[in-house]
Amino acid sequence: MPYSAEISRQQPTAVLFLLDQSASMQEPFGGAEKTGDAAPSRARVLADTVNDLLQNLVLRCAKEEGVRDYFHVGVIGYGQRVQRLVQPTEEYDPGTGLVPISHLADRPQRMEQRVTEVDDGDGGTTETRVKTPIWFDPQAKNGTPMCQALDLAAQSVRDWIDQHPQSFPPIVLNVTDGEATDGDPLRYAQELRSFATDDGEVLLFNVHLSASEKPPVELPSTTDEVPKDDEYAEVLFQMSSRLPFSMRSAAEQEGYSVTLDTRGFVFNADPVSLVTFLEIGTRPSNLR
Amino acid sequence: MSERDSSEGERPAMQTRVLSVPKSGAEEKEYEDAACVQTAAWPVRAAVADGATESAFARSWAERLARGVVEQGATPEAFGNAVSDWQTEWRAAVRTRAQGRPWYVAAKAEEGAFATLLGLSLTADGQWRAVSVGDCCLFQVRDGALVRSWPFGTAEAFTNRPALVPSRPDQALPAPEHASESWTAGDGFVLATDAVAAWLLNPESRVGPATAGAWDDEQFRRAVDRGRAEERLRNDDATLLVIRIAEAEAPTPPSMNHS
Repeated sequence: MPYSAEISRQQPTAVLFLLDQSASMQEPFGGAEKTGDAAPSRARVLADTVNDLLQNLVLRCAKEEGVRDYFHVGVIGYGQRVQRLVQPTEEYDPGTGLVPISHLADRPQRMEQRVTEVDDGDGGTTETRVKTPIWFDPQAKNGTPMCQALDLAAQSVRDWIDQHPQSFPPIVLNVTDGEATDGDPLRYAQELRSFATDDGEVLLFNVHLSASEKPPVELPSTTDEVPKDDEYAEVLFQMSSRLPFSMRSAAEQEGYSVTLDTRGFVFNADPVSLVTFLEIGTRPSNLR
Repeated sequence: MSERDSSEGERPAMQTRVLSVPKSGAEEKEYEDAACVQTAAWPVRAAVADGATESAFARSWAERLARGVVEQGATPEAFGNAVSDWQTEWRAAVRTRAQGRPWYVAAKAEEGAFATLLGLSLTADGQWRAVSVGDCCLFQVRDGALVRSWPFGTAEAFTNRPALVPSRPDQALPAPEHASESWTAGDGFVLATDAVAAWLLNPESRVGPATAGAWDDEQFRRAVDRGRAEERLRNDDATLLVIRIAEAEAPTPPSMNHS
């Protein structure tokens, strides 16, 4: 059965984020204008979400003695330019642009102090300061060179697969608020998804961030479910992989109804559906 | 209902054995199951626990739970009364161990650990009681045949999402399941963590709880290697706790203990 490879230190998987950093990401989420000037930009929400998610990925792999390399991770931003937002260190560069998660854990850009509530042991909670890792900051400038980003992702996963031919295949999560300004992204997406390990083809999931107040379309199974008057929604649907078994289970646990044809795609995502989907999309299977 | 036992002083006649093999590709120190047993006096108590892989400090939580059941008794009441003390003790210990370590170690200590747990107690009057949270399994074997498999009876009943005992008091504690039955001289009990339990219940495995009750360390290790190679045994920590009651040890009728 495809997409069933055990994820272990001997056989890790890869998670690669592609993040839209175009000028429109300065705007808040659709409908947020009503809540006042303090609404954060989409770029800010996305950076916070992905930093949190990287932290959670580290914690899923962290044991008392250190962080186990179940994942190799990459973050590519595309806007003013296409760039890697996390970099391997010189002494440990596997040549794929993807960073073993233990190295990511030990090298955040900085640690921020945050106040959080923890249980006080008496059934209540108490506020405490915790150090939170930050790997990259929000940016929002220029156009949306999504095709270049998909191309760079394809180079990364191709090289990574050469080194890990039996692994659960790389998962690429693309988050954008607009149309590609550098070509037809479907062609690049198909190229990216054509690379495969013995366990299956590369998975590409897409999240479109909302600029409107329309409700999100989450995990559609057919094009009938995406807005018919929006050509771009159809393209992103076609770009998106079907969810493998383990992620369908994770989606069902989150209350979604899924079919064998359910795509890893959210259109008009609000911040909540963004977080939920990225959690589902980074749950390939149990770690061993 | 609490455990009754009125035959203090009579030493139970039985043999116990703990067999364990860590998951393939992991080191011995990364093994996260736990087993604990006491047979010095009635009631005899035994427990196995399985620390969840995504927790840090999972082994110490599994050990605390297994030891706790052996100290306090294998009933839902004993478990419910003691678990908050175990949580408090565990948290204090891991906070100390996390001091001065990287950010993720401190964060994992606060996140807490999870484990499944199965406890068994045998009383001299020929009764056993068991308590369980999650998917560890208890087998009772008599004359080379399986007479009881609890809480699961088939390999298909195991899922990847068992109920778990959390180390954090602010997380929901699943209600423990419980069972009771009688035992007789010559019976064997096998307590197993989930992967090995599902394998022993699979008719295609060519091994079963009765054979497992007779294994020594080397036989267990070889069987586990073969089961993994045949892909019938999921790659996970594998633990068996075996109790064999001596043939001569007839249960003492309760009426004789009221003098």
